[in-house]
Amino acid sequence: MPDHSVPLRSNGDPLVTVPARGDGGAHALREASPLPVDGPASDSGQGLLTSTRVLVTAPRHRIEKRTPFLFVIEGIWSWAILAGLQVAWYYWGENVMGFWNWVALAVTLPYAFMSIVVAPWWRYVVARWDVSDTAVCSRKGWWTTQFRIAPLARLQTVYTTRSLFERWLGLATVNASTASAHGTVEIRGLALADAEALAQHLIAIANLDSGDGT
Amino acid sequence: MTGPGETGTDQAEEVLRPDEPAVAEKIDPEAPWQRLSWRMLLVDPLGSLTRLLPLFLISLWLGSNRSNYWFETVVISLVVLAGLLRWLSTSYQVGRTHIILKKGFFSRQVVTVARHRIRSVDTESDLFHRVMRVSILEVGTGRADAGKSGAERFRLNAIDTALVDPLRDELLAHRRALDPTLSEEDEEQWGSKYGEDIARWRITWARFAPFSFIGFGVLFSLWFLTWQMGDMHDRIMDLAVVEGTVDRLDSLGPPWAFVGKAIAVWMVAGVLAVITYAIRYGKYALTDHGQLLYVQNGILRRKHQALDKARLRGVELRLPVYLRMLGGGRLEPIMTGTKKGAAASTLLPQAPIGDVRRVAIHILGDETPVTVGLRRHPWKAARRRLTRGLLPFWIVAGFIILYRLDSGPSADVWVRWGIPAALVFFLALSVDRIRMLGHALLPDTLVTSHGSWAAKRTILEADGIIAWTVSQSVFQRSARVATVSAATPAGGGVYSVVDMDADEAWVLAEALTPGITDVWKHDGAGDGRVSPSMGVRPE
Repeated sequence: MPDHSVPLRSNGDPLVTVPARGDGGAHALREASPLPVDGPASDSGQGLLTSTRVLVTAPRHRIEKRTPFLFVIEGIWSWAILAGLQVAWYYWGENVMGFWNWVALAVTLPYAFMSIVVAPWWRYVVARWDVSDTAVCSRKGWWTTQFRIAPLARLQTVYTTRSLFERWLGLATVNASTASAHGTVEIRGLALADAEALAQHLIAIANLDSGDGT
Repeated sequence: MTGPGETGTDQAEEVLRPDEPAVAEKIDPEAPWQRLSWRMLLVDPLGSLTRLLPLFLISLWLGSNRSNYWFETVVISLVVLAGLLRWLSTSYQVGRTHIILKKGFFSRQVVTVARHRIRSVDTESDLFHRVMRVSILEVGTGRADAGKSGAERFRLNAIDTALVDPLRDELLAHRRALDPTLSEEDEEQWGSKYGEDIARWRITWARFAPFSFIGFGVLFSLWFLTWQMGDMHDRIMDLAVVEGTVDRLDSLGPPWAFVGKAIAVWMVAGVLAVITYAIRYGKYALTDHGQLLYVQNGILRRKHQALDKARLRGVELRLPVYLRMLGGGRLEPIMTGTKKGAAASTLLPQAPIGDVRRVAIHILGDETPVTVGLRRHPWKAARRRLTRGLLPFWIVAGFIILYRLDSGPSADVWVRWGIPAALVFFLALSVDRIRMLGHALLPDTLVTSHGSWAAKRTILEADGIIAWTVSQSVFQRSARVATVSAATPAGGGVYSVVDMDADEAWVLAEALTPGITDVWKHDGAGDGRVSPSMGVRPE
């Protein structure tokens, strides 16, 4: 398990923009904005949302350093199919690179470059996870980063999965699943022992039996 | 799914083997055992055979010139035999404390439902059922359909339609007794029909039908069917009316011929849509029975279905731009435990927007979420609607230009007409997206609205939210906006506030799910390390 004792704190999390409006940096309370005059009847949350700040820090734990290689393998796999289709197209099209063949190639190449060469390292840089007494959270993605928090009270099952490629690299994925697929926290790229320890930890504190998590 | 009447571990319905002692306790010796209607023997094979129709068509088509039809004979006799066995093996009893259903020929099962736990009685009958005057009846106990196996269902398929209303009256008597507004005269006059009528279908609502995709779906399947039927497609295309119209439109020249044909197809689809809409939603009625909403609809296939308010987590007003221009909308429930897809219920089909709002307010019991003015998003979110909304335009324009490069000056007319038309269309959609974008944070309720072609205003109870996701692309980050998604087990699974101010993203989550942002309250935080832009420091 990564070291819990040294909390990593940063105020430059991509979810909070710096510099903040008003004085005092990203985490200061903003000066109260004028409340809506016509009272609470038509309040759409303006007062609360503009006057409160939530301190956002990066989750403490990173994933294994070898995970980018996993992402590379997975990336190659899906792009290889597309490349194969284009090669087949070339042969069926009487071995001539036609106009539309060039168009397809021009679209495929930059995307393949991004997803095989750039994305894996970017994903590693972004990927982080954390677990507290009340919630589990993960940050993932590359072009679009996703920061997801699920309260432990809402967890339904916790399980680990290992794909073929993950087994090659000795990695595992922990899924803390809720009743909605969009609320399932997926943590990829943990060493097998870490993954099992995390799953055990989550199962122990989440108390999966009480209620049905909806 | 933790309805008010449900406590502890005791099950509302139980599946038992017939020789277990628990069954004997629950059987009421005085109540008679009843069977399904014998007419079900006629309906059941017909229904199964219609579902097997594609198989028959294929087998008839493959072996069209042969003399023996043993395959068809075997299938039909199997289906008839299955129906007969089901009729023989099914019997039910309405006792004083429990209702009991015995079913299964090869493996006998007994389903018992405690009468005080019954919450709803659904009925359903398709065309064959209605001709034979039988209905399918299902007893619900407030448990979600999704979590129920077939064996657990108390489902009578099918009983005499004349028995349905008395049975429903009897089974739901204990729930009506809880309703203080129901007097004795009402009870005598209305029985289980007592309830507040919220909305009823009107024939004028059919005007919205052409502005939906129902008609195109029907048209496509008809077109597909005509292809299957040999020369039918050619025969239709050779009809004098069709040929004359196509010729007249073709004589208009390239851009207008295309527009004219599109309008002609739309008009045909529109007529089909009106018919389909009227068949599917005709006789639609929404009734409020306290804890339950009853939805009835269908002309050929009648449904009378209960929606349990305990499972309702909000509503969604669907306001696609093509309906909104005519002043229409739809209303969908956000419920847990419903099956997705065809079985999911609609609260209100395409209907005037006034009715949609009225029904939504009635169901929520509060008009604020429906009528409150939404908070606008930062101007950069509006700019993003334009840049993103024009993305398909660039793709369309790019393809038109590539097509022009490939096929020469004959495609000039597409460059001249297609590109400006696409620009106007996508620009108008983007402007509409800007108008629809917004959110409101009410006590324990999230209201969010976005989209244009598929615009919707979602009203979601904070209680139904089980996780939060804030996502931000590189472009969103530089525009300082973020998309906040609330995950819920109900309805579509996730409801998002698109492109709200990034600083407010987690505040919104914290306000609706207090304590969700506690993950950041570490001890000993604040060592002052400031990271570069990604929030990550080299360790």
